[in-house]
Amino acid sequence: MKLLLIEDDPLLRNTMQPYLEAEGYTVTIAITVRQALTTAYDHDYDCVVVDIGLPDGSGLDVVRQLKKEQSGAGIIIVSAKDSLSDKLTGLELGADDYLTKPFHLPELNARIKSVLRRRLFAGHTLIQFAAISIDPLTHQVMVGGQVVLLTEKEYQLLLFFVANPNRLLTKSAIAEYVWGDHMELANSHDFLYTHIKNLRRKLLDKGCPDYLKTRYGVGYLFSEK
Amino acid sequence: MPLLRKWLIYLLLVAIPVAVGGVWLLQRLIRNDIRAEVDEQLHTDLLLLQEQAIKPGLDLRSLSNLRTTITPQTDAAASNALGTATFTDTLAYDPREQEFEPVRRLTAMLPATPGTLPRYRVTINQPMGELNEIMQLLSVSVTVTFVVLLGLLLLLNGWLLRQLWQPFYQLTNQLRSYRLDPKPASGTPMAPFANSNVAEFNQLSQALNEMSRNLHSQFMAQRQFTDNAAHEMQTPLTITGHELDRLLGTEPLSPEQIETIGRAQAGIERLVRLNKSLLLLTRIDSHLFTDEPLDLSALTERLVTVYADFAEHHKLGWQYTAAPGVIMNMNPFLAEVLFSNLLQNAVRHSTPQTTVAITLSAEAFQIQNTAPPLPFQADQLFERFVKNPAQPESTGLGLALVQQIAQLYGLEVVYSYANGQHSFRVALAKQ
Repeated sequence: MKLLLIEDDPLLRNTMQPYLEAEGYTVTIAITVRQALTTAYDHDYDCVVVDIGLPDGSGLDVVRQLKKEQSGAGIIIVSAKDSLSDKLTGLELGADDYLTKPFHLPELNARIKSVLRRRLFAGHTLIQFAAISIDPLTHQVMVGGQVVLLTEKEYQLLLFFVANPNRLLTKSAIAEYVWGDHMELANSHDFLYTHIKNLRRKLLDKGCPDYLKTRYGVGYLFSEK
Repeated sequence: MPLLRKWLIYLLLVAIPVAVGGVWLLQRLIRNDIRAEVDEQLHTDLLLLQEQAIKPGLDLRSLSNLRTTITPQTDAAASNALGTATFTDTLAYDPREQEFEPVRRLTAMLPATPGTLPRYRVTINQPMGELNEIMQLLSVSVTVTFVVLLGLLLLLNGWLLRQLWQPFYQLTNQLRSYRLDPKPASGTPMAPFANSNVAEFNQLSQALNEMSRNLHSQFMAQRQFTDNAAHEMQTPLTITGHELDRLLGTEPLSPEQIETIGRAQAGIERLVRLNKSLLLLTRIDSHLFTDEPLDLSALTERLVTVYADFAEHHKLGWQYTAAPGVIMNMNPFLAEVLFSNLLQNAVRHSTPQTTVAITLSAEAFQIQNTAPPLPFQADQLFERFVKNPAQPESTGLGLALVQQIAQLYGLEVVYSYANGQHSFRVALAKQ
């Protein structure tokens, strides 16, 4: 999978690039709008992650131009501004997702995966993780041929775990992905724990091996091992 | 006090003494004039009498008439007064009117025959009653004319002043509705105060325009700063968070290390929330949001559903009644912050096993929950960074944001506490 990362901050690039490469993407870097457009013109990318604030213009211009050239790449906008109008403009221009800084890397990862799924397979593909298979179109989860009935939040939790296997996911990263802006309460006390406990119980009930491990009260690890 | 009234008072303070003094002076002048004329007349009468008296053999007494009395005088002392006439004001009986009337009297001595001792005292009376009446009439009419003219002058001046000050009133009206607009492109110029053909008002409006431009540039600079602060702070926070995310991915990690990273992440997260709330407060202060007609019923219903999960987790009853189709002109993002902060507040502070009652009507949004009394004064409730010491992870900005947003839209948030019930009521102004 080829990924174009358009970000002007070197420190931020230094954290995002290795993380995404570790996820198996081939990452190309662009620093300016100009550079981004030439690079995107020369190569086909599956996904473009673009920062709005760039030295020579707005990341929205990149989105506009890519859409004009009918690029098939999925587009995720990253912005330091929590601005609803920017978000709406971005999505109207044809971006697939909008992420506000600061965000957790596993969240970016999960969003990229979801965008790629929609772009490449138009969603017509089952997500497979060991004994679990997930249909992203119908939100149906199967374990060994049996349907597991999950609430929407439990489904989101599972999706996030499956997108980030073998990685220690902190409670705040999970809460932010599932509850978004309303995570402030989700992160407190043992609210998240209750939901994860329910998810785990439902999976175990259908004979699914226990993939979820808690890690010292900090977070969870979803792993086949 | 309006300038007009002040001007009027000063004018009257000056005009009344001048008028009183003027009338008094006028009366004196008229009286003196009339008296001089009367005296002259009396003197002429005397001369006429003296001329007639020269005729030999004439009994002077036969010349007496209604106005003139001639009496023989033997008094030697009176001889000194020969030829001199004295004028006096006195009262004399008027047989026609049958009353005493003021008269001007001339008294003089006449010799019976030339060269001898004066024999006769002559008094000539001039009744002054009529003349006094004329004098009074004259004074009154002059005074009335003066008062009428003064009144007309005042009215005319008042009207003129009002016309003259018209540009000033326009400027003050404009100033009252003046709002620092971050987007001058929307049609309102940055220097909105019109020029006037009166130099002073022109000066004022030029000064105001300059002030407006200065304010605007300062405002833009501040807004730029806010924007930059957002960008500059969010990015390092993102980087720190990402580095911790990556650190968590390294192997092997001891439990202590994982817990340390967890605490660091929790700290960063609080900083992020704080930063976001502060930025939001600054942006509300600068009116950086655009409004649109918003269905509050749909919005609150969605938020109530979102927070129902949390309420259930806190073992709270979650009771929601709403009138459909409550529409208000509001920014959707700010409205969401306003209502979700109130809902969050109720979830966070309520005593378990109690019920939170949420009501939305066309008049108000109200949320009631059961909880221990506030640990601080109720009037501090909406202040920034005032929080319950039992909830250290709270930013202390949630209700400050509620208040700020409500104020932006001119909505009143009323907090009350009775019988263990906290109540927040947001009065929705009819638009």
